[in-house]
Amino acid sequence: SDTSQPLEIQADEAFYDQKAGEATYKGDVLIKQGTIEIKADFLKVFTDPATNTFSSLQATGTPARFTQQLDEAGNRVTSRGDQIDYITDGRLEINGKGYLKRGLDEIDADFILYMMKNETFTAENRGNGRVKMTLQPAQEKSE
Amino acid sequence: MNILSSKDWAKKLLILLAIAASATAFFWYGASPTLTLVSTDELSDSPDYFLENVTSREYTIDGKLEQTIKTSKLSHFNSNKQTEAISPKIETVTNDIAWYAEADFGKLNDANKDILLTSNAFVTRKDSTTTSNRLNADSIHYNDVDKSLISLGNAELITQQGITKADTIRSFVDLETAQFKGNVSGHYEQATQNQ
Repeated sequence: SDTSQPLEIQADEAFYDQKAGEATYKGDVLIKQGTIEIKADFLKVFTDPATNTFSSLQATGTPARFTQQLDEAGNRVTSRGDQIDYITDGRLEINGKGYLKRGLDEIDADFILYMMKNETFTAENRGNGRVKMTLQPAQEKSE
Repeated sequence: MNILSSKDWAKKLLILLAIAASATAFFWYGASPTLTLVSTDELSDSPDYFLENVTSREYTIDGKLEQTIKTSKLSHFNSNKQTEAISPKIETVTNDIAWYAEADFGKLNDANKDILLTSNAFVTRKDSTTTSNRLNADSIHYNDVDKSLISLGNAELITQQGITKADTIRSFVDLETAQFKGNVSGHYEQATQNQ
């Protein structure tokens, strides 16, 4: 799975603080892990002090963008928002002008939670307008 | 007896003077010893002393071992008040943090405790409290004033999560904080393995 792949991060600048368990990356930030790709202006990486592995990545941008390939056929989920939190146990939280597209399904909302493992999502209006969702009907099985 | 004409006297006198002048010149320059075997400016970039297979130890006022330097050859230059070391291996305790540095070449400054390590330079932590991070670079400059390490050229910091590279890395002897500038790229193998 993507989350068991090595993580590659590129940026113009970075700051690392082992004691605080945090690293920040600034400027043209690109994160890759397997088929996952996140682009942002600023990235904060939090480390689980117990396991010394990354627990979550917080990307902010104008907007921050996320994409992941879902299957061999090349279908992808793409998302954008002011802030994207990628929690490495397989959750994606999109905050602020959130948008997510998977196949032909689309959502616009203040807050979107996307569960990467079972590919389900939750959308919430947090005071800035309504949740707008366009879901394509499942293909009818031909008799 | 024929008397020489005044012209002949003048001619003979000139010849005598010429002989006397060349004799003087010959003996003057021939006899004066060569004052220096080597010209002065060639001397200025030679060490005023050098030592081989050196172990030098430095202690704090209260007798604590602060720095041990081992080097195969150490040359001191009065002209720029610097000491050049070949294959220096340096163990230092700074603010109770023991760190170890090594390189192909090193420069130590008489006026302060700065160290410049060049060619295959690296720094690691010595104490066992944390898994030791390691800094690699073409050159690492230890600035004793702010206890910082400036790494340039193929600079990389290796931590338990992985490797972070940059054009310049500014860190401190504890190697627990670091600032990366220019072409930062991180490769984290075990980044999220346990999820």
